[in-house]
Amino acid sequence: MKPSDLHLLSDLQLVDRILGGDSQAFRLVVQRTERLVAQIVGKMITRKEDHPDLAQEIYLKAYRSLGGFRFQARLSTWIAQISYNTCFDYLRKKKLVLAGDLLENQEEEHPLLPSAADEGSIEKMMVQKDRAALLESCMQELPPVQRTLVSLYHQQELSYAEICTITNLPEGTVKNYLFRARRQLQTRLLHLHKKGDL
Amino acid sequence: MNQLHLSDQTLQLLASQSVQLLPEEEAHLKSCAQCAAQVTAYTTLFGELKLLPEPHFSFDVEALVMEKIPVVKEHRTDKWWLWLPLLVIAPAGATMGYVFRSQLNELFSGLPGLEMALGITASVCLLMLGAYDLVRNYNQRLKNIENNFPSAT
Ligand SMILES: [Zn+2]
Repeated sequence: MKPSDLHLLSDLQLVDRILGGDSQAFRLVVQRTERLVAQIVGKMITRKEDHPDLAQEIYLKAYRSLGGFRFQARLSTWIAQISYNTCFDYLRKKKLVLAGDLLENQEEEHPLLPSAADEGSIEKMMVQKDRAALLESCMQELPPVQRTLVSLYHQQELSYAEICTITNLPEGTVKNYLFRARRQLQTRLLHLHKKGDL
Repeated sequence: MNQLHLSDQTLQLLASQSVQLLPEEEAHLKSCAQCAAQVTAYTTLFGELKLLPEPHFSFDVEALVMEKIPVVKEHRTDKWWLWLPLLVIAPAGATMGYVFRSQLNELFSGLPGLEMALGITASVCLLMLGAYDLVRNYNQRLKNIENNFPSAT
């Protein structure tokens, strides 16, 4: 098989080749899933210095446990699940905020108070009227899990079922987190809109 | 106009997909500028979220990962070494058998055919079990190395 033909391989054929010792087939898996893995790592972990180690750990875990992959989901979904779990463990080890507590506090006690993002940078962005940067900044205020769910649903356009497989969260929880995250984004944007007359 | 605004959840659903509203909700939405504005705002938000730049790794993840993969593979392809002792032992055994054939003939000449067959079968089985155990131990050690792989990098 020519290297260019590798791109035509299905998940099953790819896994079969990798298990048979074809490292080029694994290279293709990395190429196919890199964007999704970057999305999850980028949203879960804000410390960019840690991204190379995490990316390497994710793919080596996938490579080592490929023999146990049972094709219950797409290969990319399975690798996304490994990415999410690896980042989740990282956050747990570092004792960083995981669940929706930050979100709930902001919504219920200080719904319109500016929070984590510093006011200076917000003012600057408002002057530039850069709504995308402003939205990105509001996204950073969300807890890691909600931030990841928003990006998987709205940017990667994954289904609820796929998101549930990746995060191992029940569908009701995924929907609830998404609902609350979007409300927080909307509230923050509305507040900044009023403040800066965007 | 019905003064009870639509729930935020309903407004989000309206912005993201077609939702079957109750007749009174539909009537409210038509007459309430605030709810209509909220639906528009959510629609805009969802559109903007979709267009946010996708995060990407600022390093070559492919190179970073692939430089580690051949190391693991090397251990796996090393297995052919297991057959090397067999390549030495088998000719050596055959040579010994040939050189000492008369002594061996003398040694086993008194044995009935059945006992001889049983003896040979038992020896072969023992040899096979020994080889199997060797391979299993090797695989186990290899697995341990691979499990500790990240810490060794
Ligand atoms: Zn209303």
